[in-house]
Amino acid sequence: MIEAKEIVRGLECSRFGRKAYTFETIDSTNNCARTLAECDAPEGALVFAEEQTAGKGRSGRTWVARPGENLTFSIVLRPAFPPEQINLFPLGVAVAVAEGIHRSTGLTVECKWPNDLMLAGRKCAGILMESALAGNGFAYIILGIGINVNQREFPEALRERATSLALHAGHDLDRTGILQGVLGSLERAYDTYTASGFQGVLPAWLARAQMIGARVAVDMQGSIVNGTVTGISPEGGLQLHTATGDLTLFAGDVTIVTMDPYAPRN
Amino acid sequence: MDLSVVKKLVKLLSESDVDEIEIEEEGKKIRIAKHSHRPQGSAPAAPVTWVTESPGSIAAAPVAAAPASSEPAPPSAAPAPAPGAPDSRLTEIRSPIVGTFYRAPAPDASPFVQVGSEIQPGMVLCIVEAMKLMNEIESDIAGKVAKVMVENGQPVEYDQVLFLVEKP
Repeated sequence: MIEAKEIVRGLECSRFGRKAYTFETIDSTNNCARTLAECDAPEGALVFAEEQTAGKGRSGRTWVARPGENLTFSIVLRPAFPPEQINLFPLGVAVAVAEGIHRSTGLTVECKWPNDLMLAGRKCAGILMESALAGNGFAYIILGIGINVNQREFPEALRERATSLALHAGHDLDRTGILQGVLGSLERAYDTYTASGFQGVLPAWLARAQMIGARVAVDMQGSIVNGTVTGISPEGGLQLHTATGDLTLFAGDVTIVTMDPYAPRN
Repeated sequence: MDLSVVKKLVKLLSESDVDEIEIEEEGKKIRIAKHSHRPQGSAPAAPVTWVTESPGSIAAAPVAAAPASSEPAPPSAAPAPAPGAPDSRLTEIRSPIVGTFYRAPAPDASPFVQVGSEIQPGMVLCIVEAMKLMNEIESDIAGKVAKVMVENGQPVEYDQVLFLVEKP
């Protein structure tokens, strides 16, 4: 099990992960981090668990990861940026996680809209953020991240869609080093966004994305929209060309994006 | 009672199998129940389903309260004022971000609030999702939900009215 003192030792961060709570088993690191945030935990407080019994995905879905082989953690953020600017933040977080993985493993992971991370078309990391938002701005954002590191076997239902860093590196990887690398990238990115805004996010995200020009099927509350990705809007929306016209999708309108590797690219 | 105590009680309840907590302290009573239960004395618990109120059942907030900028019309369209309804007691709760509106934490979960729900500052009213960032929108006022202005799963614009709340 990764201990809090291992995380802190050699950590290149002034806040992220400096206060670390580690658990063998927990329901959800996001839930725990929210409780800490409600109890005035400092920005950057980290909750790490070897096993989640109710790990969270989008729309009530679960995040499943084998205990002791992966990284599942959550960070308490108290952002100063205004809520109306938040749309590009999830893309920026994806880029930061991708950079952290690259720095610590040499692996190049791709970004899939809005903030999944992929290796050869399969998901290797997921990000789910939850915020408390009132009239005066964010009370906090909980940044939840799951990275498949050394897991090599996946349940039947996920086998075609999930992968891990180790499967691509060809050997087991140092989980603590990856966690520290990702925390470092995230803190630097977050400080940049706080100081100078999100203008650098889109070019960085697009440089890591392979889905422009791809044909996708988007599940919007049960109705499927088929189209070709033409770009990302300045506000971070997914721009689609469909048989019935052009669309820009935001937020949770997209629950599933299926990339078609045989689609003609622009 | 301190709001933070209420928040902790809500959290305690949501993480437990207990359905409701009632505490009486210095003559003040607070009762917190899970969403599938209504406050005492109100209508019986509604089935767990997405509820879309028909327009026109209650008064819209006064036009003067709307911002000067062009405001996107909510999908349910402006309801006609009900005769004699106390317009001035209705307060709009607006979306602070662009995203998708959800009335419950998960598709199979009970809505956070329904028409008639008593709300308090700090209470979660809905989620607006912006690119997998699930934003729990908290009320900053106390009152009773008079109307839900957006259907579950619909996109909302910045500053779009989400709820009308009748102040006590």
